[in-house]
Amino acid sequence: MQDQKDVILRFFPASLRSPWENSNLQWSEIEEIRIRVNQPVIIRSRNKEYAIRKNGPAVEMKTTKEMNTYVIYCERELEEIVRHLCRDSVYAYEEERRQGFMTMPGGHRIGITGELTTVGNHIYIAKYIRYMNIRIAHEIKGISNGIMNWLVDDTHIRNTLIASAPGAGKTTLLRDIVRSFSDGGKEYRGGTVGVIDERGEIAGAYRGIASLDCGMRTDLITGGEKAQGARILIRTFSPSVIAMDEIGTRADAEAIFYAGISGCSVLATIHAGCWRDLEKKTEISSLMKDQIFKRILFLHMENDGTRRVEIWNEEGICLCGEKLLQECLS
Amino acid sequence: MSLWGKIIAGMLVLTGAQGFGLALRQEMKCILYHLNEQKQMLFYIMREISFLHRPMQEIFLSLADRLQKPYNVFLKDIADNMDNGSGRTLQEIWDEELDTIEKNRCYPKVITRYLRRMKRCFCCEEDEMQKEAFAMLCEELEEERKKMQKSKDEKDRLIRTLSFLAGILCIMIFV
Repeated sequence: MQDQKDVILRFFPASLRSPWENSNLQWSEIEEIRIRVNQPVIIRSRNKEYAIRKNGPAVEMKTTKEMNTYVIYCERELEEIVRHLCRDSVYAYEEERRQGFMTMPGGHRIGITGELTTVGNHIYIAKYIRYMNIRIAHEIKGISNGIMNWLVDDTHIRNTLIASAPGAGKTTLLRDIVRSFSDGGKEYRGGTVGVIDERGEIAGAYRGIASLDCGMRTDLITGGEKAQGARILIRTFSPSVIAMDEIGTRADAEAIFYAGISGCSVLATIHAGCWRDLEKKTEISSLMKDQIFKRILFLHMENDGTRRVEIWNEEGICLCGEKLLQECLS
Repeated sequence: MSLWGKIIAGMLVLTGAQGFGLALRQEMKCILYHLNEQKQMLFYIMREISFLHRPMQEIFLSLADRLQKPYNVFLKDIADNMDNGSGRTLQEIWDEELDTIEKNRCYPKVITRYLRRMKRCFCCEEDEMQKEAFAMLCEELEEERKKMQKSKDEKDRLIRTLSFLAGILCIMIFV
């Protein structure tokens, strides 16, 4: 708990830490911290929202009656936070400002936005950063235990697509499948995995080093495009599997075809709630038509935070009804 | 005073002046060493920004291996303090380290003067602006270094002349 508290306090300069230190939050359960200029800071934890107060512990946000007691950051304080996050070297984070997010040690991601300015041909950079979303990385090992048998065939893993609505845990599940396959299990040998982590969410890489466990036989490419990452991995690292997050463009589909032609299996995630949603996505229709993915996992999140997974095959047949992902932890 | 007394007194004055000159030369040499090291530091920092776009904390750690005393220890301490999660700004940490140096009174004031000026160059938002800020300071350091070098060369000539005269006096006394 103390470690998680230190991790979160590090996001803020010393001058702004005092209300956080007195907040009595359940640090290990914090999922997101939303910072908006001239608005209360909102902390999301287990589907509830809390506000930090200037004096005293944090409270659950139900009404706006006590708003004058909440911590509200103005422009100057937001600039101070940004300078602190950039380690007093804002010039070194130009690429992050362009992409709209920064990755911190531990794999935590900070989305940044505000007023954009053009710096080149259709290239925009955040000039005034006024809105931030700190997403705390949570690693859950073992959630793929109960489903690996559906995916792995001795030393070979089937091309697998994980689909769900945003925030259901696709990336967490993908990471655990990568880790399981890379380390190996009782019924299958470990294999080399190449991870193309375009936005740093799979491995939580900071300065190229994975903060989250992706397995001992995993090579990681962060930043760059999926097609370029696939070429580098296949040419020089000979992976058995290539994993990538959030496919959705024609270029992503081409990268997957390239991996398939080169003899690699593919693990990927996509935003889609059901089979029909997948069929509607024209950019990856070729992948569905050619039945590239032999296993499609549909992930659903309930109101109480529990996750359920359905396993389908390439023909649209449900092989395994809904099972609790939490059950897979045992 | 007899003639010998005058000669001996003259020799004592000459050796005193020569000793003073040597001490002053030594101090100038020390200042030149520091100015060179600081210029080297700025040069490396600008290069690291140009080619690798690394943040300051990483640049300081990398430089700590390449520079001589006391800059290796100075930069390493600053880098470690930036990394310890205390939340203080670079300027606050930089000032604190400089205050420690000044308290120990090991180094001439001109050294810490330029290090304090360096603090004002940090925190530019764009790499070209950041390099320009350092480049301007680098030019000033170079001018100061040239002035100091010229002054040292003049002092060297003076000391050589004094040594020559002291030598002649010694010969007159003892031979």
